[in-house]
Amino acid sequence: MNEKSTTALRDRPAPDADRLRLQRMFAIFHPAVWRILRRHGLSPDAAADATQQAFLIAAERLADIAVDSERAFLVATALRVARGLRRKSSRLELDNELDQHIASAAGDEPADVELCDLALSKLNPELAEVFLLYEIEGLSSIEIAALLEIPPGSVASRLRRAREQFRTAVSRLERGLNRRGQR
Amino acid sequence: MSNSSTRLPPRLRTAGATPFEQRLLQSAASEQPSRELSERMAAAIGISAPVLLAAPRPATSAAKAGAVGARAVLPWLSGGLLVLAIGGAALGLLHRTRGAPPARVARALVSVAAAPAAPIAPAPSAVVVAPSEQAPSASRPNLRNNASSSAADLRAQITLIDAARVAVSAGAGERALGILREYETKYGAGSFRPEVRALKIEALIAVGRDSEARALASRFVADYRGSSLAQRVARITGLTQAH
Repeated sequence: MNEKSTTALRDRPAPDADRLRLQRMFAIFHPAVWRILRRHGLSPDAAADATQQAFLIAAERLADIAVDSERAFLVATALRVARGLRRKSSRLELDNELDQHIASAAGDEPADVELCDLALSKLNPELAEVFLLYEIEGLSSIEIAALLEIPPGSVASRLRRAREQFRTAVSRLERGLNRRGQR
Repeated sequence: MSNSSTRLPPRLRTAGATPFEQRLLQSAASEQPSRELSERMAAAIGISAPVLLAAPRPATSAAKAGAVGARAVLPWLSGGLLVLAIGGAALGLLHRTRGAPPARVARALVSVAAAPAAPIAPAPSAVVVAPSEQAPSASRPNLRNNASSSAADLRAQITLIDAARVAVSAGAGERALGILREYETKYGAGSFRPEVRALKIEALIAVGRDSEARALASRFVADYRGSSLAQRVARITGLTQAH
C-alpha cells in the first residue's frame, strides 16, 4: 500500500461520498447489527440504542473502514458493544423465563424468536458468538475466525460445542412447551 | 491452513436440525427492527429521515430470512442511492470531525450507559487502510457511474446485488449464483462488476466449489491487487495476497 496515496485519500474531503456510504451501510447492515445485539439478550429498544452506538463508531471511523469491510467492522463493533452490555440486563433462568413468557402471552404461544433467544442465553458466551455468526448471520468460518481473532479450527470446535448446547436447550424448551400444552 | 480444516458443516437452518430447531433459527435470522426503531436509529446517527420515511416498508415479517432481508433493505437502499444520484436530496449532515453538531446530538441520544468508555476498536481484520488510487476500486465506480446510469438501472442493479448478498449471508449459495448470473446477463459491465465477482467467489465457497472459488479468487486478487476488496477475497478464500 502506498502510504502517500492512502493519506491523500483520507485527507480528501468527500462529504457526499461519506454520506452515501454511511447511508448505504445503514440500509444494508443495520438489521443485522440490531439482530446480533438482540441475540445477546437486549430488548428491541436497547438493541436499537446499541446499534446507534455501533454506527456512530463507524461514522467516526469511516475513513479507516475498507471498502467491503463494512460488515466486518460493524459486526465486530456490535460484538464489542454487546460484550460490554452482556449480563448488565439481568436474565432469568430458562424455565422461569419460559413460564414468564407463557404467562404474559395470555394463552398465545411464545414467539419463536423469543424461544430462540432463550435457548441462546443458555450457551457459553464464547460459543454463542460463533453459533450466532455462523448459524444465524451466515458468516463463513474464515470471517468468524478473523472477527473473533481465533484460529479457524477453534471456530469449528466452538461451533460443535455450541450446537450441542443449543440443541440441549431447545430440547428442554420443547419438552417444557409440550408439558404446558403449547406445542 | 487447508480448506478442509476450516470448512464447517451445513448450517442447521438448511440441514440436520429438527423442524422446531429450524423454526427457531429461522425466526431469529429473519427478525427485523420495526420501522419506528429504524427511523430512530437513522435520526440518531445523522441520516436524514426523508429517505427512510419516503421508502415503502415490506408488509410481512414472516417470510424466509433471505427474502425478508432483501425486501426490508432494498427499498431504503435504493431510495437513498437514487436520491443521491439525482443530487436532489438534502441529507442530514454527518460530519467526519469529532464533535460536529450532528454527532454530538446523535451521541446524546445514545442511551447505552454500559458501553465501554474508551472508543471501541473493531477487530483488526475489520480495519484496513483505503485502497490505493492505482487499484481498481470496488466502491468508486458506484459513485462515478451514478451520473451516467439511469436511476432505474441503478435500482435494478442494487436490487440484484443485495439479493445476492443476502443469499450468500444466508448460506444459499445456489440462489446467490443464480442471481449473479442474472446480473451478468443484464449488466455485464455494470457498476457493480467487482462486487459481483467477489460475491460469486463467496457463493461458490458456500456451495462447496472451493477449487473454482480459489481459481476465481486468484484472478480477482490479480485484477484488483492492493484493493481492500481483493484483500477480503484473499482472506475468505485463504489466499495470501501479494502486494
